[in-house]
Amino acid sequence: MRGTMNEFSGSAALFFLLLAGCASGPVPPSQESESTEGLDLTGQPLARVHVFAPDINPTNFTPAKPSTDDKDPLLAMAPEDGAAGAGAPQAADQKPAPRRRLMIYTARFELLVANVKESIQRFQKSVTDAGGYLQSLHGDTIVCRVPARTFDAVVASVPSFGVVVDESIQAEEVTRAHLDLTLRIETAEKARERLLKILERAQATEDVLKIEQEVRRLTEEIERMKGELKLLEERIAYSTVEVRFRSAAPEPKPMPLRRQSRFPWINAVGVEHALASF
Amino acid sequence: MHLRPSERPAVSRRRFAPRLALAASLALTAAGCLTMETPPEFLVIDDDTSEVRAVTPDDARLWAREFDDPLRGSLAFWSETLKTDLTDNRGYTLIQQREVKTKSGRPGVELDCEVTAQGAARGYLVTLFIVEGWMSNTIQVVEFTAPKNAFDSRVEAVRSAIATIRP
Repeated sequence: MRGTMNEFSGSAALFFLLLAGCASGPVPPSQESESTEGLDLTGQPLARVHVFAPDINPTNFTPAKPSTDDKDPLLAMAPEDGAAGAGAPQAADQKPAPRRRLMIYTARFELLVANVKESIQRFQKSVTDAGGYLQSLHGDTIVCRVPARTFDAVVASVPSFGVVVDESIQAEEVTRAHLDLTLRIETAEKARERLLKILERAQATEDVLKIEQEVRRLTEEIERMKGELKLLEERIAYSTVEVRFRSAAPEPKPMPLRRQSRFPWINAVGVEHALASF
Repeated sequence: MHLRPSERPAVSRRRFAPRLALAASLALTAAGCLTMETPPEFLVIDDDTSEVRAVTPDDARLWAREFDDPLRGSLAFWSETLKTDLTDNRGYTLIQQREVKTKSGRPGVELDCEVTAQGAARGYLVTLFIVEGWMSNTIQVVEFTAPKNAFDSRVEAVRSAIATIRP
């Protein structure tokens, strides 16, 4: 009888935990900004997401290391008062603090220059000096990554390398994507912790196997999401600058047409005739 | 003393006939029948009296021809003229120039060149021989071209074949 009760309680706990643990989809806006209860599995309010609110210059963002640091990277940007982090309900009339925007910047230029090779070398050096690095160099097109904080300066310096004939700057907002990913990781980690605690108490072999399987699945999911988050933060931290250099020098004159020899037999020999006559 | 008109043709005909026969003979000798023992890997696709053409599966082409030379230019003159035209006028790169001889002892000049044709680098070996004739000379031209790899692997066999050219 006791064994049956244990199995029942273990199975029930596993059922509810799986229901909670699988809720890793995008967070509704209401939960994302205000809720303190919707995703509560461990007793800690998930309203910590309010830490996105502070107005911080996106170019000063430094990517966190979620895989090695227990602290949420975005918590580091939270205001010091911790009002939101404490999970205290906010007054209905209190205006939410402006959310910090996370942006991925990409700039593309096309320049007319006197010397393509030399200009590419000069530009590459300026990028290196700004803390960036070369991503690719193909023909007359160079793609560099520069720290987001120096993006504006690098972009502003591009016209000094030649005449800008084309220019485009794209800014992609990834705040929502970053928030969703962070919350999904957090939720999955908490679910895994709960599963591990249940696993310690589980006695039925079937339950142990089920829990272990779920722990394994959650672990893989967490690692995958952490990888995505790391990639996203790297794209936020380093902006892309692509410059195509075109020579402003006039096109080389075509080779003059072959002059015919005054000796007919000489005009009849050569590779071109051998290729045409066989 | 003048010969009577009726006697002139008889004398002239008697003197001219042997000369005509000799001239024809010499002319035929000069032009001759061009022959060459092509390397075994080459497929001969044309082998008439004035030219030999042969190919290989890897696009090597061997072509021996004769051209009439009423100017009677020397071997040095024609080889220099051809070299200048190839290098200065057609963009060929001369790798080396050397003197060669056929098995029968006839001297020739070989020009070893490289050129880009149809978007690919090709080797080009051209060898000249002069066959002196009574009324005009004959220039024998043997050309060998192939993509660079095939050229390098076959050029020695072609040189051996060129040495067998006759007359």
